[in-house]
Amino acid sequence: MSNAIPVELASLLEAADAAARDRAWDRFVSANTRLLLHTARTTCREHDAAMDAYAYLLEALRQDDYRRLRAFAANGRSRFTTWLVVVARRLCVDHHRQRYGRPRGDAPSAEQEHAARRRLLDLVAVDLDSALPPDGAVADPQSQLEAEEVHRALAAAVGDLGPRDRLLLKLRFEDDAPVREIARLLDFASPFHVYRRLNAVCALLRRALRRRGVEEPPL
Amino acid sequence: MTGTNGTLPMTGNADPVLPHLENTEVAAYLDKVLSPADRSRVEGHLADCAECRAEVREVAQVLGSRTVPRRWIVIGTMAAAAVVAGLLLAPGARVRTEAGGAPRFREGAEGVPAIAVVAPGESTAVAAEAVVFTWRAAAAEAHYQVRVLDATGGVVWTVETHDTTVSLPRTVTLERAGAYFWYVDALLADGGTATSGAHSFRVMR
Repeated sequence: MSNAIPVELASLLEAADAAARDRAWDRFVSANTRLLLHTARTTCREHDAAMDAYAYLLEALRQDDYRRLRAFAANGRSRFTTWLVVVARRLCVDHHRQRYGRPRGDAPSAEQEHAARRRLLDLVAVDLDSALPPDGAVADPQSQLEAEEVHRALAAAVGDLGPRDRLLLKLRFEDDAPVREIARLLDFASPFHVYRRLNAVCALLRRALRRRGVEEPPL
Repeated sequence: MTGTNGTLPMTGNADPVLPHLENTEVAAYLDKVLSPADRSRVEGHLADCAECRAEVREVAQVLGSRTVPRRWIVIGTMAAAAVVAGLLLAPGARVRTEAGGAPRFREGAEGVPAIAVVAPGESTAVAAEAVVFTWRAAAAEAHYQVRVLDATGGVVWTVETHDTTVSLPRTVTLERAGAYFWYVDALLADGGTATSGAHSFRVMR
């Protein structure tokens, strides 16, 4: 893939004097303002916050003689627009955090992680009824131990998977990402191929759990 | 600013930050230009890092919701005037110039909604002291950019607004009896775009 530098960026970085740089900057902003605005609006839902973030990221891109833009010109492997969206989003997030602090919902909660493991276990067809108490009930020590053992075995089995399969499981069960989106991100040919791989991974996990002594209940 | 080229920064009330992916790695991953070994490493990190995973998903969504790029045509200087007149009759056409003065035209992408202009209409004569541009709203919460060009395609004035009418400021002088063009582009709340296409007007003597 070509990492060709857009003409507006090249003109900006090669501008000979301040006047030429100002003109080139105006052209660069004009060429990219829609993408930058769209990124700001996607990151900051509220209109005023998005406009503030947009102004902030323009200023940040100009800082230190366009240091960030020069870094792309020197090292960029991707398309410029892809890189620009990444940097613009990070700048918007930084701006938002500086003003409002880090949102509480950033990392998945313990409950969310537990729910994700539960969904995965359901798919792997391990019977949890005997291992986990009904919601709200107090588990007896034996049941609790069995449940912890199942979870540990599952965590170990997932840890033995390749990175792509682990990412597939995280996207599907922890992030609840739509299968179509997963197909695009992980470069599957179609959502159907995602389901096929999920089935194959679950079969791997079932075998791994059996090796660790976790058996499926008789039908 | 530290953080935007590598690790995400610490704010005053943030937890200690684990190393995150470099912005170049995220972009290269999304563009699928990483080597197999790098791709595997990045996917391993994404499997363990909810924040980077969320970033990858959001960037992919922003890129995926962009409009189709428009086509550009470069023509020779000699044919410029005639083509300007002809293309201005087509919706979505607009004029730009390159450094050498040759106009460059951009055709509207298929399916880009048109913004209906109110005033000044095509070839209308306006008073130099009171030039007001008005158009019909493309959608709720749209963000507009208005541009005024001279006959060579040079940008005379540009402004961004959420309103559907703007007045040319007194600091911008238009030549009497001069021919100008104007158009308005809209960025919609869903990331889509709309355009009015270029319309000509002239300034009264």
